Amino acid sequence: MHARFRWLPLVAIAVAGCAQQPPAPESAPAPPPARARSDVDHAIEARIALARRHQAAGNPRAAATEWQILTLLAPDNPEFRRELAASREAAQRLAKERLDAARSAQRSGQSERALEAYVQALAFDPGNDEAVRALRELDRQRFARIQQDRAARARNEAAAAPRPAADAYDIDQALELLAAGDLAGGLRDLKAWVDANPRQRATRQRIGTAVFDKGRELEAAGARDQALAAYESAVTLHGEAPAAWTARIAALKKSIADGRAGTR
Amino acid sequence: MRRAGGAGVAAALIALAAVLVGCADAPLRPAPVAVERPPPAPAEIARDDDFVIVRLAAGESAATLAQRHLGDAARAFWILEANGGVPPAAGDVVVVPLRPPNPLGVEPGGYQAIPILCYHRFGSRASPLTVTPAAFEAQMDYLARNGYTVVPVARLAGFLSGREPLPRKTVAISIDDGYRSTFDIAFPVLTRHRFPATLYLYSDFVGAGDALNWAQMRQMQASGLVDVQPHSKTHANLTQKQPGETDAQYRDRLRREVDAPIAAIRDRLGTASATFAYPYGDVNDAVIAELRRRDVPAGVTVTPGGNGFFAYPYYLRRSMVYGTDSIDAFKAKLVTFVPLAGRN
Repeated sequence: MHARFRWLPLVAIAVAGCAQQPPAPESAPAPPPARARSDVDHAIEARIALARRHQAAGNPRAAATEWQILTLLAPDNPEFRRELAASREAAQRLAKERLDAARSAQRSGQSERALEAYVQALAFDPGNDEAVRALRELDRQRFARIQQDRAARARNEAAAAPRPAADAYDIDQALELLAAGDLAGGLRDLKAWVDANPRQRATRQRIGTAVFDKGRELEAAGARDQALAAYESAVTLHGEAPAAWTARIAALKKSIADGRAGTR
Repeated sequence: MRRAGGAGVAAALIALAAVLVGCADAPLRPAPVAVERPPPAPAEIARDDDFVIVRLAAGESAATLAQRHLGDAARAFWILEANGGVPPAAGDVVVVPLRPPNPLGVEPGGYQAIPILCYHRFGSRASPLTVTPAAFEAQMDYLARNGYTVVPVARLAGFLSGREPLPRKTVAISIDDGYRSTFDIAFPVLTRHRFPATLYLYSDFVGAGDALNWAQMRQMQASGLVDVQPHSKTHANLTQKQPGETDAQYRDRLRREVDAPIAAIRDRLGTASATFAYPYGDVNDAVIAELRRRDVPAGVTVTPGGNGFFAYPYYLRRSMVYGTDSIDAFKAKLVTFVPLAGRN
């Protein structure tokens, strides 16, 4: 008989044995109907197949779960208990093997390899505290390196190479703040970026133009003082402001001064 | 479609602080769920400490079984995942796990991860940080139709501590800054799908031209779908000292950046802060120290990727959703399982 089906006679014996048990006392619940019993048989077959699939896939812990369920569905079946014990033992053996590999990789500085081996150790032994602690620390260290890299890039003022995506995000975010009405917040962040990247001519022009456009919008809305602040910031951020901008600033300054004089 | 959160947001927030700080010492084998067990039902076939096996009665479902045996209908996914993922029918033999079946979400080939999506603004003109209403609708529709469970960011606490598993395809939604379009455009879509979302607010923005006001935030919060969390006071990069700023001045500024939004959200919305979104996603040890001082146990960055159970709570990954993303690019951000590259 194919190994895969070698349980079926035992299942049949167990099930038949259950059917031949003496009548239950009157206080006990009524025995399940015959159709229900066959549902249990069906569940047993399905769980055996599942356990075998997990074993074939190299996951004895998941297989052990299925064997444990089978010991509940067919408590008189000794094979299910043996399979449960064997699966648990295999899972513990693999967990130890993976844990040893993880420790070794960690000692030799191979943190990614260590992380993977710790994950596998946990897959075979979900209660392993050492693996959990090690994974948390490895991930913390990995992320700390990411953050340090970001900070180092931000400090590298002289970098002339194209900026990474993270900085593109910073600029877009600042421009969004500006567009949304947070003039102070947007200008502050854009100024910080330009201060850190004075040689990024194309991006400075883009920023300056966006700020100048915001100034026009404010001026059209009657917020002339804010418009003037935006225009002047645009000139600084741009670095090579067009003559039309300076003319517009001069005109607005005069208009503001005239307005104030008129109210005196 | 599955969703979680709603009324659970407030409870999850309260629980978060207590749970996250204890991550490192969390017991790994969760105790059986403490519910008062009902008398053995006639349909019960067998039981041990880990499982009860029942025959599903007419009118029952995974949710009613979860309510009866696990104390929470939202744990129905434990039952579904233990029974092949198919909703059981009346008469089926159903295995009910009494402990979380795989609380850490680890498999020999990889581990479960929870992606946190990060949006900013919604509007008719797409830009990197502005997602159109049609694109947002399509993205939420994709989540709904493909069996994703959406949880508030605070729900990650139980998962990170190893105490509470989350369904295999779980995702969190966050929206940064506090643009009015969150209320005008995103909120109706979220409401339609009953999807929760976490709004990260920088408090100086409130009242600016295109910002939310407190009444709108209160209305969203009252729906049980949106929780408001801090995103600094001014949206300055908290890791960068300003020119000429001394260490003491920097620390004082950090303190204001952390304290002000927490106080504003507490005073205006009555909400405790359980997570903090770092402006530009940047964080350093000084920022984390300030969050610890205020008992905020977690922080989110904009480093993309999903969060495994072992993620450091102050370095949670988030994936930005851009207005220029295609639906395929959006799908690629739904990292709910991280396969191991080498398999050693």
